[in-house]
Amino acid sequence: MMWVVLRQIGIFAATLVVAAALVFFLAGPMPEGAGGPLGWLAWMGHGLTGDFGVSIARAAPAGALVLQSLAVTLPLLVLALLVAALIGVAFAAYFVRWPAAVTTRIGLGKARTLAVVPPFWLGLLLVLVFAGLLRWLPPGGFFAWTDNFGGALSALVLPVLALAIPFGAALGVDARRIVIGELEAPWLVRLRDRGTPVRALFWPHVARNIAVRLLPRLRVLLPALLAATWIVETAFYLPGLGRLIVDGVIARDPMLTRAALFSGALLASLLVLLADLTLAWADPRLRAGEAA
Amino acid sequence: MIAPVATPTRALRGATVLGLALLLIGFVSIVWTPYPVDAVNIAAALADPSGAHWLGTDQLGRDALSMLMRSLLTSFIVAGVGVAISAIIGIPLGALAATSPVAGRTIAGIDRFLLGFPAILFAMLLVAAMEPGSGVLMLALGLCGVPAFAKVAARTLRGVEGFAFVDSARLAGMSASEIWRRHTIPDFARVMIATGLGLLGPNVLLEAALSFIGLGAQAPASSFGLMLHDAQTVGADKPLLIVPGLLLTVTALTLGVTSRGLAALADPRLDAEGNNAA
Repeated sequence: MMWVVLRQIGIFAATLVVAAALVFFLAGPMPEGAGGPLGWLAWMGHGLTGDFGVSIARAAPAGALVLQSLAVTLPLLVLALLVAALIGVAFAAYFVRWPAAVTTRIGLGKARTLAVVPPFWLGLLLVLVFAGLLRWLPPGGFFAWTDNFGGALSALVLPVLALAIPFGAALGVDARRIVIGELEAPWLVRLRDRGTPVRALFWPHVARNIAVRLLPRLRVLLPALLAATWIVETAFYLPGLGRLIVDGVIARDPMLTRAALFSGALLASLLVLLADLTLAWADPRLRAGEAA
Repeated sequence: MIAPVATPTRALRGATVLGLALLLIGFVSIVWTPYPVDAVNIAAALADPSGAHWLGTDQLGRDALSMLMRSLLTSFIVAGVGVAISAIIGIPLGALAATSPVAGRTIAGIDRFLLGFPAILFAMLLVAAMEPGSGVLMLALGLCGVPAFAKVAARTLRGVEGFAFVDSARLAGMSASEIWRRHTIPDFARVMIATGLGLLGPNVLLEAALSFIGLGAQAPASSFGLMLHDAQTVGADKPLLIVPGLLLTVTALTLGVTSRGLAALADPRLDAEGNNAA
């Protein structure tokens, strides 16, 4: 286990060093004397202390701007993930429990379609209906959490739905396939036929097998959800990390662009690391791999 | 459930026809659109759908239907050139990896890196290094698709040798070059086409997303994402907010169904949805 964890953390660190190099050398010019390989090392060293230089467009420390934007992006990401998981589990449970129902056949097709709908467009449609026609929720913008907690939370309702519906549908379709596959596994079929109730086997054995096959999907879906979050921020005028990257790029503000892009890579890499470590914990084959 | 799919499913046939129709409409827009896509007419700005403008006009009075046709072309071209770049770099890299472990490890490393540095981030970085526009997107999407091609190419070239049909062909007296010509190359081509088609759909969605946030297609070019961006900015009426997204979704869905269906035809180990049955 120790080796697996160290290995994953090593890969995580290597990803960040390469990301830092790409971001440092490509995201625009550095001030005189601060460029080159030595400048890169200096930039990384300052970055470790949270100092990413000063944004010229906003006249503020780039690191502080990133932290402010995370107050929008992180809650949005976590809430979207929770709601997507709820939708996915509900879909999968229904499809697996009633495989022959007409609603399952239609619902499955609908879920596959929903999984392709671009979240940012779904966001525009939700604004059209719930902010434009019904006037239930704000069409966009954000409040500081400490000034107006309720306002900030209600500003996130539609963006969370815009992200959670397509990702929940994708999760549900995948989870259904994996659960059905595990329920039809030869060992389980044999035990069931001999009279062992599946219920007694589910939590100790079947659930773990499902997790082991679902986690590699999450490893891909999580960074994709993060990337979708950045785009959805634009649809709702939310001052999150995605918006900060775009503003930095469009304003040709190299220090801000670097800080924001690197933070994006850091966040995505953290999500992958989390999925990898959970997988290592859940899959005994990976733990046994420490000898290999 | 593991029964091999020998004939195209109805979904695959439908999606293929629809996909070709969309492609045709896109290419027709090169030679003909109801109105020139850059014909600005402020007097007719944000007009409702009418006999003259079937889907109305945008904030500059441009015909929405003409812009949608041209956006379809942008989608296909950006996604297609992206796939071509991925294939041109990825396939030789994969062929190298089939024989050299070092190249194999390099590809695995790039693949792992892109997991923590998603394609959208990479595209944003390239735009920061150059100028916003469709060309940068093609390059970004193309580079991000390289590992996908390289992995599949390496696996196929390595894997085809071990198959029973290759052994039986050899036992039947077929020479090595004949086996290559009759089995390896056709099998390889099928898998590569399926891989390329599989990348088209996600590329179309990425192009739209990046154009929506302002880092992709720039006016006077036309793109679904740019149309939605403009519609949101000027608070346009329903058709301009709904139709581009709908057409974008239909295009991505069609490409997805086609690629998964074709992959299932090329590889009987996959079920009709293109998922690994095993």
